Amino acid sequence: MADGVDGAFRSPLLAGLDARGRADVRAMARVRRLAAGAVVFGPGDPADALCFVTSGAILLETPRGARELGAPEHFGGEALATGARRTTRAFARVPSTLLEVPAAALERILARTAAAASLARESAAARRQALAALLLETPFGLALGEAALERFVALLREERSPPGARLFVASEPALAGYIVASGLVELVTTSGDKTYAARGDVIGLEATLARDAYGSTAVTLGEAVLWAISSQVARELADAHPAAVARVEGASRARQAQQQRVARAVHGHGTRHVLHELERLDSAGSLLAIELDRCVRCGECARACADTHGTPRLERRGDKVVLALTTDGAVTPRALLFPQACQHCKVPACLPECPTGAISRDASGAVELDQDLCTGCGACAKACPWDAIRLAPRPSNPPGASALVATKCDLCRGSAAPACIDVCPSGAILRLDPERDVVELGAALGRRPRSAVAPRWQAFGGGSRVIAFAAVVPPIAALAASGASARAAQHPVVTGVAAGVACLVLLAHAGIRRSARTRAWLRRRVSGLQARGAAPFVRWHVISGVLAAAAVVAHTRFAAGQGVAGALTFTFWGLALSGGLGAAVYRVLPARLTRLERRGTLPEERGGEREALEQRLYGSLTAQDTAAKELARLVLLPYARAWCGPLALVASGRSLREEQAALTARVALLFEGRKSERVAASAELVHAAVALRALGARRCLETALAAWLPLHVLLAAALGLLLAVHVVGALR
Amino acid sequence: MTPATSSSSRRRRAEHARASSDVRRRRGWLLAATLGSAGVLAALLFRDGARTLASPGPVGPPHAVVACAGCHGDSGAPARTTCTTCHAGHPSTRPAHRALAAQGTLTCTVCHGGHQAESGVLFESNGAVSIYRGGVQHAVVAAARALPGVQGLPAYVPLIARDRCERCHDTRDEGDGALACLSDTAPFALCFDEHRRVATATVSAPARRDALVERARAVAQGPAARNLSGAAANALVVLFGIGVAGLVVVVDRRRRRVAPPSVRATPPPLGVRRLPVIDAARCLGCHACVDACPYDALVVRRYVAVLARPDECCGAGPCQTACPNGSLELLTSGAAAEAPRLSSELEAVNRPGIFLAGDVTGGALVRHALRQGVLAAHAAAAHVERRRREHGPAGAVDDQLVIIGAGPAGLAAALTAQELGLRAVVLEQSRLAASIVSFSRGKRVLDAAGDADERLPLFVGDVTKEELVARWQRTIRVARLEVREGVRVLDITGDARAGFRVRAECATGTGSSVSGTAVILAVGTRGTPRELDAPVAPEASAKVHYELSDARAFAGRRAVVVGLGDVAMETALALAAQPGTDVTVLHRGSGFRRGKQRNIDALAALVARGRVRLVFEARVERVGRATLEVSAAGKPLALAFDALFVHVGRIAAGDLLAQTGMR
Repeated sequence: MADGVDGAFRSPLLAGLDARGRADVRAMARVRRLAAGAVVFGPGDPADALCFVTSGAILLETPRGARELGAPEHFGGEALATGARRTTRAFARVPSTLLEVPAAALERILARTAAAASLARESAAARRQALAALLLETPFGLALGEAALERFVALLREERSPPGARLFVASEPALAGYIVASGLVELVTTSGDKTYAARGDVIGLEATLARDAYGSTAVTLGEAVLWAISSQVARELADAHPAAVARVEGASRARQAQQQRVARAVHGHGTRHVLHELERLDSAGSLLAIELDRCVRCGECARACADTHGTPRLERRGDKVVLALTTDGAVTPRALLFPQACQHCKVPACLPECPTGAISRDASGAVELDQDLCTGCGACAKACPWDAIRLAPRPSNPPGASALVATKCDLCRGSAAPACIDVCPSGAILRLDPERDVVELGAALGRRPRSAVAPRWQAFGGGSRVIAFAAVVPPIAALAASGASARAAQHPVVTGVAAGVACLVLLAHAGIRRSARTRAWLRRRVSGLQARGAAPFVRWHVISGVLAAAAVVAHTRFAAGQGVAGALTFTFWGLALSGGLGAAVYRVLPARLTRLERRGTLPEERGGEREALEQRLYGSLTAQDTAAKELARLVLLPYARAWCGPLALVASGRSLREEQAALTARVALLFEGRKSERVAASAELVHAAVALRALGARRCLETALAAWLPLHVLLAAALGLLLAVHVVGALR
Repeated sequence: MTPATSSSSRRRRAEHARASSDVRRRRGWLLAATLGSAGVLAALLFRDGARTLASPGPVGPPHAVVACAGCHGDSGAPARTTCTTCHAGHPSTRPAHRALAAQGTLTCTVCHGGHQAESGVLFESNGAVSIYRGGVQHAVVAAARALPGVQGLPAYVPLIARDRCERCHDTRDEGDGALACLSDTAPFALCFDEHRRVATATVSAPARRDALVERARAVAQGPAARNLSGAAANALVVLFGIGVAGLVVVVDRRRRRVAPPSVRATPPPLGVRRLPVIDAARCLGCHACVDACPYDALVVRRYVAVLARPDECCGAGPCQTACPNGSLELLTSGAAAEAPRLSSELEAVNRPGIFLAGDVTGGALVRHALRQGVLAAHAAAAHVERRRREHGPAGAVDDQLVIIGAGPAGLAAALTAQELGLRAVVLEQSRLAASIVSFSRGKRVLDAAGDADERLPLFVGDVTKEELVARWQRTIRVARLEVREGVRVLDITGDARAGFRVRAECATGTGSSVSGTAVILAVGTRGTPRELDAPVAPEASAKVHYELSDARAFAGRRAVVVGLGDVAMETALALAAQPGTDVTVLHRGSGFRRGKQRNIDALAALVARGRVRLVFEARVERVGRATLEVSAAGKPLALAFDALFVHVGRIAAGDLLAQTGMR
């Protein structure tokens, strides 16, 4: 509404805007109307926007007392600092109207006016205040006290580093310490030990005070905002507050010890563990993850996402990571895959890049993208470090809108549950809150008390395996046996109707899997279907399949087929066999496949993989000496090329590591105990050979997981048609 | 929050959403399953005829015409007793069976079955014989002759299946009477004397029936009887359905694969110079144009895009394509400098038979060069074809094309010529794709494919220049193209009628000449490296280089670089990065005058650290065998050197064009 916005233009910041600037503000800002007593924001909420009061009065409750603001004042400047959270509570004392302008957009708009300077000053002050607020949560800040902290913060210098920037190098003279305000810093000692510093940690202070050399090299992982403590400031601090400095040193030693413990503990888990994914886990608010031991590699998640939104926002590609997750109190290490989908970062890299302010965050922290404001420029897609935003053709084309629009996962706002999670037949895909769910993250980085995006549809429990009804089978078998008795043959109509109804229930499964509305309706009616994913439906499908088999046996008594009825029976048993095979395969194979994988790959990538692996094997042979080449010729190449090798690997059920150990043992046997360094040197060759064999094994397993389904679907369609013809014929 | 992340953390290219195979895998399955099941039904109908649609299953051919009520009556009672309404009493000749029949236990359907269990042999009038069992009919023989001694065909002989006898008889017991009727192999009973005695061959009464029975016995023992199997027949039907479904899926996939448009797209406009003009009031400052520009000509200042280096602008327009709201437009601003006049087929107007392709025509993008190479090859092939027609079968028209320049345009032209059946020889003055090799390290080439680009030969997509050149080398090797490197073309004589003769000079100094029916000039705009004015001792000529191909080869050597442009600075930086090198840079000017800022900064840093020595106002007087005589600001200086890199500019390719009469 006109008055809602115009009042804000009396503010000193916005007064100097020209027509274009005003138009931009109108497009990008949000008008909020509040009743008396309504809360604008509370402490801990994400801070992205400056709020301009256009009418009414807003009460800000700061630690120093309450402040009242009327039009045209503005508040909420902490949004100008990267990754800041609200520290105060603001609510409307009387019915008021606010204009919320995203901070990044405001800087863009004001850049062309004279108010840019005052905004810059306000921004600098806000950033220092945010740093002080951050430090107050650490032992260092608490020891220092608020007043001293403010004086200290005023003397620091802000630095923004791109990913991979080196802050300092080991054995260089220490000139400054750093406080990490946002992002993650990796510290590597000369012996190769790695530790990590996150938000609120102080690094390099000890070396600066001692006028020594740095003990490790510091590299930023991802974008980082750091505050440099020059040596002079450090010395003043040490003179005035030795206790606080001691706290810093103690905290950093404790942090390093803790991280080394974590490193030792996870080292045995797998090749990729929490410390490899630290940056991702630290930045994610809600992380989409696939449990590989349950995932049957059917791709339904990606398909459902593409069908719901028109363009796919999910790709099942990524590295396999082993993390310990908390599940109902128990802590279990699981193999996870993080597909490419938006993880609603706590400090989104895409948000400040958007020139039209189309990207914003809601109160829970979920990052949303307004497609009406999007111009398809792709700046957000270029900025996202995880490649989660993509450009896609616009679904509808109003005149003047761009042909392309940015899309990303938005947690399926318009539906009851995210489509990918709702459709998974084994309940393998889920959204994690790393702080809450990944145990090792808290151990590695310390506890950071912060609220994050509440992941929707996070029911962890109840995702039991697809087939877990060992107790149900005997009674059903007894039923089938009794059905096969001659008595049942005397009631063909009754058994026929039972068999027909059972078949219809089976056929309805296709509709259940396709239609989210049906699933939601069923979930509302039946309490047993609440668990995650479509797994409960699949379980009931298998059970009703066994019941249908019993009814069919009662109706036909294993007679061979003639005509439509015969074909119908044949089709049914074909379905039963393929379905049983599919269920068994879904139960047994995913865990085996996971043990042989390092990454999640899609079938279209398999073509180049063999060539790449062979290149790797031959490439690592190139510079080696004769003994290694003989080893390859006699042992490794036959091993890699044996056609039965993949089957043997599948049958043995070994993981990649175990297989590598077995092959290394064979190699060591060949060298008969001597030249142990030769054995160690051929590790690379062994890895490449095992990877080649594992490729064949993976293909076997993936084919087995996928091949039964097309036959099952075709037979189901045939069953439906033949059943209809049979019933119509019987009625005549 | 301060926006505008530094350029090193932002990628240059925004990915488009790709439909992975997960999304595409199940497309068409619904249609395939529907049509497959229809195929199953069709196969069933074909196999058994329309009567299979009736439930609960077909009856034998003679009884197929009888309505349900004919056997079951109005009340739907089982048809045990109604057989005798049409057939006579047919008592059994065996006393035991007669007794059971009198009790009512052994009714007609116990042996003969009804519906699924009815079996028999059908003799048609035309001599065809088929055996029937449980809905499946199997032709045995289609003999043209009628059965001897039999009139009144068609006829039907019922067969009793073995399992009907086995309901009561235990065939494992050797004393069982039924063993006399059952053979080990035939699935049917072979007695045929249940209801009347079968006459022996000598008795003539009811001969027709006996002849039929004999024939039926033969059929029941024959191999055809064993083949009647319900499960196999159903499997065949289902397999047919699978085949139909598979076909539907294949056709559907093929239909979805959009055929890309042919490569004959229009080349970019030649002869005009275009520069981007930005409407500052509408520009969003989104960096799309900056990231799309391959020459870094645009930059964003205060959230508005600005053309910072108009001299670098290629005018080809990726910036305009990338701009999301149309605030950047390419407008003509003057004629392009010195573009040769060409026809729309890229043929030189004043020298027919000579075609131009690539940067030399005035364009500036690699993918445009590829397209032009393909077009020029097509046009040259058409030219050769015309020459052949004019000459007639008498004279032999050489089918060789001479292509000058092994850059993207020349290589694309050579590959296309090969595909079209012509021979092509490529003459290159330095190395394959030399201009691309001279891009900065890790530079990304060929961003953003347009339509039809993927089918261009040599099109690779968004890769670094090193990978691009490596792939092109592999492609050229696999295609066995003849590329002669180190051959510099001096002039082109001849004309379209008589053919062309290209005179060239190799690196070693020997001359050569190549002849061809058409010539394609793809010499680019970089020209030939300019040589030093100073005399070069013959023993030292091997130490003089005009390009740095592999810096690692010079590790530990003393290298001198003459020049201070981008190429010279990058050579110096690459050499200084190798261990043990001693790098001296000589420049005739007195300061840094041009080049990319980051090169200047990096070199200045190295000079400040003492890693590289930079001598201003230096002129090379003489290149000796082991020392270089230089005059630096008037004072003589002798430098010992192992390698000398001369980067003092290039002679424009226009000279070759002028020499061949392009203008």
